[in-house]
Amino acid sequence: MPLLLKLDHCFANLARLCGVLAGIAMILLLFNVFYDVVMRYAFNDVSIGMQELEWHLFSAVFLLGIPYAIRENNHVRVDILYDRWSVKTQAFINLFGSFVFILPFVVLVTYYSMSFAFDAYEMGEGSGDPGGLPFRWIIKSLIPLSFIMMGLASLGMITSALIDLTQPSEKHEMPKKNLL
Amino acid sequence: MLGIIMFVVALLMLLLGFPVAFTFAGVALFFGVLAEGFELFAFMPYRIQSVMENTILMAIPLFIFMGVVLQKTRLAEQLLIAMAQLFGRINGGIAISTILVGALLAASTGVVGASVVAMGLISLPSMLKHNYDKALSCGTICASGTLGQIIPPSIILIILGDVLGIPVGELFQAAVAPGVLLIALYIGYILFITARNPEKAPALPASPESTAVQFKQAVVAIIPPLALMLVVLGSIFSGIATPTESSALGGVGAIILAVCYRQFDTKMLWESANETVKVTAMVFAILIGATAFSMTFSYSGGDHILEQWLMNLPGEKWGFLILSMLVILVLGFFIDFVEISFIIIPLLAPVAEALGISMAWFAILIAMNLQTSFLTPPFGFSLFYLKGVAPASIKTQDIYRGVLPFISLQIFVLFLLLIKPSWFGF
Repeated sequence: MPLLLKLDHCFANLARLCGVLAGIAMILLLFNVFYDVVMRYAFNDVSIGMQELEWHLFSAVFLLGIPYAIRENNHVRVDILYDRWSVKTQAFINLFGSFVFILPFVVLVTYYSMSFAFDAYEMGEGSGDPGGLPFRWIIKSLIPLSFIMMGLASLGMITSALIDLTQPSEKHEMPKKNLL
Repeated sequence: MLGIIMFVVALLMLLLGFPVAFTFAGVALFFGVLAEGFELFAFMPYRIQSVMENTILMAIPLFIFMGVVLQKTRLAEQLLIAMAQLFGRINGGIAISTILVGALLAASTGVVGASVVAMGLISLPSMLKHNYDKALSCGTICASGTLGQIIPPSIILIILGDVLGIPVGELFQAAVAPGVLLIALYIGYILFITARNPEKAPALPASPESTAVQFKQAVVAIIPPLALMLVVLGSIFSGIATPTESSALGGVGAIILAVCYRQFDTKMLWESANETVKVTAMVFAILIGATAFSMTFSYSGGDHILEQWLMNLPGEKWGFLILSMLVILVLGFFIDFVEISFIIIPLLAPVAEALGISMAWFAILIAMNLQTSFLTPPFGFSLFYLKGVAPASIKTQDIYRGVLPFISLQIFVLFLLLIKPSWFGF
């Protein structure tokens, strides 16, 4: 069933793309906050725009990180029973969870957050503070984008589970969890 | 009533082993729609936006990043080797040096997994080689590594500060005294054991190197974490920087250290960012799931039922405190501190406030309590980490037996905190 594998590969790459973007945002966030601290204490110079950029980057780290972590299997599970089950049973759980838990939630939040972002665009919403960042709709659009990517990542979970169920010997790309 | 049913269903669903964050979100969606209709979830974007703009929580990825970078500079390894040489010649010396290194790492990074792994790879083989008791060795390592949970800067205190609405800097300060007491008790325990059974942790034979050389090595190894500790905690405690600002100082400081140790390259920077993203995503996914859950819970009236019930416990304040500590302790066996902090604590917080309990004290009680969840078999994180890197001669039984005395010490400190808050400055 090469189509299934191809699809799985495609979802994996999308999630990885999110991971790369979140990683870049992480490094930028570190230097952004550091720069603001130094400017404030050394030169007594506070830029509202730079300070708002902090939470824009922070949002990107976790909103794009969540779909990536779904693919990388980094989200915590209560594994009392899960670890003892066979690969097939685990695959069934992941199928069930994707359809019943993730997808409905993702669809609903995507729906409401799209109008949330769209309203900001229509109103031309910007920062309320002088010197703040304009175009609030951009960062607000990150919410629906993140949830759409979560949906795609959970479709990837479904394809991985189907591969496990139909061709158990096939290697797919769901790595084991590696928590800090 | 619906809220209470939802709670039970969610806990049962967790047992399936599907990621916790989405299990909570999915169950909340089902019950939320049942109780209020789809419109309830129109609030979700606003709730998510308030997380995005939360500068306190921003400290979480930054502190994690700092910890990951320090881990990659192999600072823990150097510290462990140097300190073990310095203390090795007294009975129980390697165990004591492990505790001290654990405390230092906790105060500079606060990442539990990394500390336990480093100690499991370095201290454990050296303790076993010198005929230390297996259980004692394992227990010392798990307990020392877990110190990062209570000793600031720690992720759990940041989360609790946010959930309970207390300044994080204040919590960091409040955690110092119980943390130091815990370290002292751990060392006291090792001294006590070796006084009674010296063969459980025998002294090392004299090494060819002179004491002066060993001392110099120890100083060289101890300066970097100490400097970072000073920068991070010093800037917070002196009021110069907020915890979030100091986390960025720490992150950049860790990079500078890595450069000094010639361990820095772009690959290392990228890997650190990547690992940080994964852990951060895990934490915030739970926060989003918990947000959906508590929203549904309060709209379905579940929080009122729970609040009234908790307010009318026998013994009022004490009944509530004892019950909530027991609940957290028991839940800590099964789910980890992130879920407990985001889902259970917000339910307890209003009651604690109404009963006139000092919130900072309550937070430290919770943090001390949650620390045991890292050590309690069978699902304590630290146990898994150690098992993952321990040699095959170490049985799970050894680890379980080893952590028991340390869990008792933690519960003892929790108990002291509960009955004698004034000793700890509350």
